Amino acid sequence: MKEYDGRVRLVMKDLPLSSHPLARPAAEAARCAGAEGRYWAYHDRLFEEQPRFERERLIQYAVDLGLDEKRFTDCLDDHRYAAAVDADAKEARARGIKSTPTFLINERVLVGAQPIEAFREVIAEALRGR
Amino acid sequence: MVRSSVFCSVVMTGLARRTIRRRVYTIAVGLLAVLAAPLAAQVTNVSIDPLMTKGPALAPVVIIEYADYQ
Repeated sequence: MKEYDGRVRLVMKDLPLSSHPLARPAAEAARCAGAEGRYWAYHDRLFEEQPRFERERLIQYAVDLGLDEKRFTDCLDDHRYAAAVDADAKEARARGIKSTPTFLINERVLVGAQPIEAFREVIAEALRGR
Repeated sequence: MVRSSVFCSVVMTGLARRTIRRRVYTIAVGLLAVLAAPLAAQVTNVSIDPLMTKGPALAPVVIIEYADYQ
């Protein structure tokens, strides 16, 4: 993102796979953190801690980031963002996206963990308006 | 007579194979285009949660990442 300062927008969408049972609570937790203004910090922490996403750990990560424990726990336990996560997953399925990560870069699709060069190439093409 | 009919059948078989290959290739390319088109066409119609974005709203390049954390 720093490399393309001001020229690239990154949009995250949730697609918790059924084969990853802890991915869904993690996605909901990230949105709960987002409601407190710490989505990206929490998101980065989740990737660092992968796959340790048990409830107590999710709460601990929030506390570590200075989030209000009760508010966060209530949000998580109430599944306040379950519908939003479902909506993202439904949207992905409607587009034929079944695996993660999948990237849509303007009009190009990259599936799987691609090397950084693959992204640079597609972004450069997009910036040239191809 | 026999030789020429064998020659003809060999040539015809070769032509038929090439035609079949070309048709299979055309169908495969067509299928790929049909499968890829909905993905590409809908990139601009993705619902966006502003809390889950980085970078300017009017950036010329938009990367949408579908991810799960596990």
